[in-house]
This record gives sequence, structure tokens and C-alpha cells, in this order.
Amino acid sequence: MNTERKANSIEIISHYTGYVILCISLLMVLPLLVSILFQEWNPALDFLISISISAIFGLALIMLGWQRKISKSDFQWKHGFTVAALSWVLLMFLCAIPYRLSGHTPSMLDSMFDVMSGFTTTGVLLSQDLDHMSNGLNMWRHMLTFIGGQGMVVLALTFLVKETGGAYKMYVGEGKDIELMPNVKGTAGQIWKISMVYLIIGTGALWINGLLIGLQPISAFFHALYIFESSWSTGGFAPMTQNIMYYHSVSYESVAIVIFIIGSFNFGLHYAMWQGNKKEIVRNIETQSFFITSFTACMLALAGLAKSGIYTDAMAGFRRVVFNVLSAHTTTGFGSIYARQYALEWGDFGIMIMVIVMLIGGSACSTAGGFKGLRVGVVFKGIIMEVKKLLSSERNMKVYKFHHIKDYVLEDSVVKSSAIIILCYIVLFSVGTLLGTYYGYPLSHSAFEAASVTGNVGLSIGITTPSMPVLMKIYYILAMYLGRLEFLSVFAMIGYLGGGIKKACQKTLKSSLSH
Amino acid sequence: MELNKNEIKGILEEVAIVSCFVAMIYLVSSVIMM
Repeated sequence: MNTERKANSIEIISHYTGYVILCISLLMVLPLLVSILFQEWNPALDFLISISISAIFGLALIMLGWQRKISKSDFQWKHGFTVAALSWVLLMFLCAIPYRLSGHTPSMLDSMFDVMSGFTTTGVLLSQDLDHMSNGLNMWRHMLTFIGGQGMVVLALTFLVKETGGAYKMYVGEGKDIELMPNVKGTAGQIWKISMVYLIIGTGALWINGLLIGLQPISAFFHALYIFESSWSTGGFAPMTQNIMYYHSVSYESVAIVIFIIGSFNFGLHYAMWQGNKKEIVRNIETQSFFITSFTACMLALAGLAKSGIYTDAMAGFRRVVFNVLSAHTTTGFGSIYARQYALEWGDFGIMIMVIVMLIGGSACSTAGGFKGLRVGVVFKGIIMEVKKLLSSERNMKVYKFHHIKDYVLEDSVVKSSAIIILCYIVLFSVGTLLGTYYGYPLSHSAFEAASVTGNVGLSIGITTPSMPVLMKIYYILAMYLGRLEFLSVFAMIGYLGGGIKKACQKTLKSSLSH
Repeated sequence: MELNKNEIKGILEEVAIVSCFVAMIYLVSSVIMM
């Protein structure tokens, strides 16, 4: 065998995709151990089967490029984007195996829906009977959302992939482009350090709260861990059907609010604050944008619902309105009211506020979804810049800037690229809304659900159920996936695969004509 | 995993600022709900 031959594109992509798959499949050992600890033998067997299938598949992919020489220059941007986008699709199938084997989902499509919802930190779900779900599967659901929030490629880069020129390209392909350290492995490690420190603090705070509201110590610990993982990853999964309402506790909800707001911030912001740059949180265009839009949305929703007389006191307003608006804005998806209450009590005004904040979302390079505060801020400043240019006598002379970790010049290209991504989100949301109305759901309900999946939020107005049309399930999976990877990786993968197929067809046609 | 003084201060500041923001929303919301 010629071991010196350079790897071709398929071998490069399969090699690195294999690493990501192997890394995630090895993580199933944790829910397996939890199942054994709680003597849940059937779920343990489910995880054993799932680990075997995923690990064999991952190793097979790694072996394809194992003995080939992959140099820094061989690994191009198209490979990085394709590895990131392809890993997510393949893992959606593999990570759905324990769901399907558990019987909590009626079909494989429903299992994959829940896995994609977890990976993308959305939080809508089709799993049934959560209250009787095994501890192992509950651990797996919340791990998926936690890993998805930090990024699966980021995880693989931290622990498995050696430092290569391709690492940064895979990292960007997963929708994260901030450089905290000079090398991407260091950056990935830093992201995990920030998340793990908050995991200890947040789980501890929720555990103490759980004990105070009467949960048993072990149960309080697992509830705290799951709620932290969902809050920090702006996921929205909870171990019980009633979601955050299960705890009936204002302090539990308040701790969750603080965690999910911090979780929706950019990892670059956390890092800057941790380096002693105190003013970053108030100077950053993203946090400025978030504080302004979330405050305004909370006040408008409160004013609208107070007028209708649904919530009559401040505490009810805070727990039922502010909590849900902040949960939607940070794209978390914890709900402190039942899904149908949005439809029956909130009215069109309340629903529209929720749709807008769900679409705006959290910060770029965080665990949150949506347009992202950075893009909203840049486009808003871009509009102001254009107006000022029109009014100014010294046209085109002044340099406009915005602050995001450091000062950037507000160039037309930056505004344009932000506007394009926002436009992509709006198209995705509009098609989702249209699809809902096609199947007979009211416009406002369809818009609510479409905004929830497009912005990776997870709140539901009651449309997302196992009985919803199959096409809507598929579209929602696609919307969650595209929204989370911010379009470019997926478009690059489609373009790359499409180009490959076209080339192969042309080659076949050419050879058949020559014969 | 060790944290230095700056990192601990950074965490405390993040938590404090976000808590103050949530508290401010609660205070203003109580005025609206009156």
C-alpha cells in the first residue's frame, strides 16, 4: 500500500467526520454508567447497542483516510464546512438510536427530531411520557443539548483531533469564529473551561434551591444538573413534562434566568470579562443590543397582558411574562405557562412580541440561536450610518465604528453580510409559517412555531406534537439545523456535494459517449 | 482546573450585572402592573 499518497477530499472529510462521531459516541458511556448506577438494565442495553454501532461507524470513517498524508494545505475551507455540517447529520441518526430503542418516541423520525432539537439547543420535543423516562436517557437528552451548545466539533477538537491547519476551518464551520487563544485547540479548551466552571457554580446553586423546595438530595442534584445544562446551553429541555413549572419556585426560576442570560452571551465576552476587561459587558454592541431589546420586549408584553387583565400582580407578571420573554429572547425555551396558554391568553400582540424576540435571539459565538444581537446591532448602526452620511456635509469622510471585544470599522461589507444572514433567517421563518398555514394552523400559531424552530428557541404553542404532519417535522428539523449552523456550512456542504455529483455525472456521460 | 483572581472577579461581575438587570426588570414591571 502506498502510504505516501495524498488523501483526496472524500478521505479528508471522512477521516475528520469519523473523529467527531467517535468522540460523541464515546460520550454515551456516561448515560450508560448512570443507567447501571440506577439499575436500569434495558436503557443500559440500549446505550451499549448505540455505542457499538456509532463507534464502529466512526472508526470506519477514520480508517478511510488513516494511512493517507493530510497536510495543512490539503485541508481547505470546503472540507471544514462539510465536516461540520456532515457530522451533525450523521450524529442525528446515530444519537437517535437510544431514543428509538427506549420507546419514548413513536418513530425514528421523531427520535431524530428530538436529537436535532437537542444538538441545536432548540428544546421542542416529540418524546412522550417524560415523567417516566429512565435516568440514563434523561442524562443523554441533556448531555446532547449541553454538547450541542458548546459545539460537537469544538469538543472533538479539544480531546481527539491533533492541532492541524484544518482545525480552525472545522471550528468556523460549526458557526463559531471567535479566537480566544492563538490556536484553535486552546480556544476550544477555553470554551469548555468557561462552561465547566459555570456548570459547577450553576448546578450547585440549583441543587441548594432544589433541597430548599423539598427535593431529595440525589434527585435535587440530577434536576439541578439537567436544568443547568439546558439553561446554559439555552436549550429548554427539562426532566419533567411540566418543564420549569414542575418546581413551583420563584427562586429556582430566578436562578435559571440568570444562568440562561449568561449562557446566551458570547464566549468572547466571558473570556474578556475573565481577563479583567470589566467594561466589555456594557460596551459590547451585542450586550447593548440584548439589554435594550429584552427590556423593551418585557415591558411591551407586560403592558399588553396587564391591559387584558390576564396577570394582575407584579409577581405573576414577572413569573409568567418576563420569564417567558427572556426565555424566548435568549432562545432557551423554558416555559412557565402551558403551550396552549399562549394561544388562548396572550393574544396576537403577546404572540408577535414573542415571535420578534425569538427571531432576534442571543449572541453570536454563544450557545444561543436567532439572528444574533451582533447582527441586529450592526444592521441598526449601519442604518444610522447611512442616514448620517446623507445628512452630513462631509460625506464618506467619517469612519464609523462598533465595539465587539475590540473596535471594528463599520464597513459596508460587514453590514451587508449581517443583512444577508438575517434575510436567510427571515426566508426560513416565512417558509415555516407558510407551511403551517398550509396544514390549517392559524397564522399567528404557525409564525410562533416557525420562529421557535428557526431561532432554536423551543417554546411551543401546541403545534409540535407526534401527530403533526411528517413534512412539517422534516422542515422543522431542517430549520433547526440551518438556524444553528447559520446557513453557510450547510450551503457549502450542499454546493460541494452537488458539485461532486455533477462532476461524476459529466465523467460518466463523457466516457459513455466516447465508447 | 484552577481559576485566578481575575477569572473569579469576572464571574462575579457577570452574575452581578445580569442579576441587577433582572431585578431592574422586576422593579419596573411592578410599576407597570400597579
